[in-house]
Amino acid sequence: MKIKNAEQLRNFVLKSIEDLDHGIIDVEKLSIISKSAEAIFSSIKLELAYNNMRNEVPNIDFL
Amino acid sequence: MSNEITRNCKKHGNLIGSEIIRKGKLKSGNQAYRCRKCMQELHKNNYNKNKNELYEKIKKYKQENKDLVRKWKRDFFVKNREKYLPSKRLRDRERHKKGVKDLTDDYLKHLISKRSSIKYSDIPKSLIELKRCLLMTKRKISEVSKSNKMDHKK
Repeated sequence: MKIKNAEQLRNFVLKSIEDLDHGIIDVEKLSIISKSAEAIFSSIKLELAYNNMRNEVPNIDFL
Repeated sequence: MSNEITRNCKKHGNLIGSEIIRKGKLKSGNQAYRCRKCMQELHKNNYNKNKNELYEKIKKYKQENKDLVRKWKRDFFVKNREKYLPSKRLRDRERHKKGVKDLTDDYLKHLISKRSSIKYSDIPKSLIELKRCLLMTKRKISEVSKSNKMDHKK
């Protein structure tokens, strides 16, 4: 499964919580999923910060 | 014989003591009196009629005398420090507690923008929802692992 955006990741994590409730996965597996999701979240956040930073830099034409 | 002033109002009938207020002087030089309730109504109506103009006037005065207004505010705060400071702190603490418990949008925005240059207005809704979901997962994991530990002890 390929996760393309924050919404898909959210749905995936929510589904994992439901799976835990139904006994399909255990806590250890959920914690691994959680850590991976945290990593993806950090990368999304980083991208957002980078885009903001790039927009803030004024376009100065030196010529 | 008492020296208490009594007057008659067309609207409120006979007036005694605190129901009467002083209001200027008559042509003869004697003190003039008015009904307190009537004057209150008059001021209230005038205030409602000229509310917008008054607010603009106050706003303009505050802009022109920024230093003076700042001084008034500072003096007021210094005078009433004990009254206002603890309550504000308590209010902030309660708001923070509510945010942590309910995972409010503001609390999540604060977490996302922490130690970064991201502004609150730049954070999309999907990212807030994702953060909420991740925190819920963390809480769920700790809750389940706690209950597992308790079961092992038994």
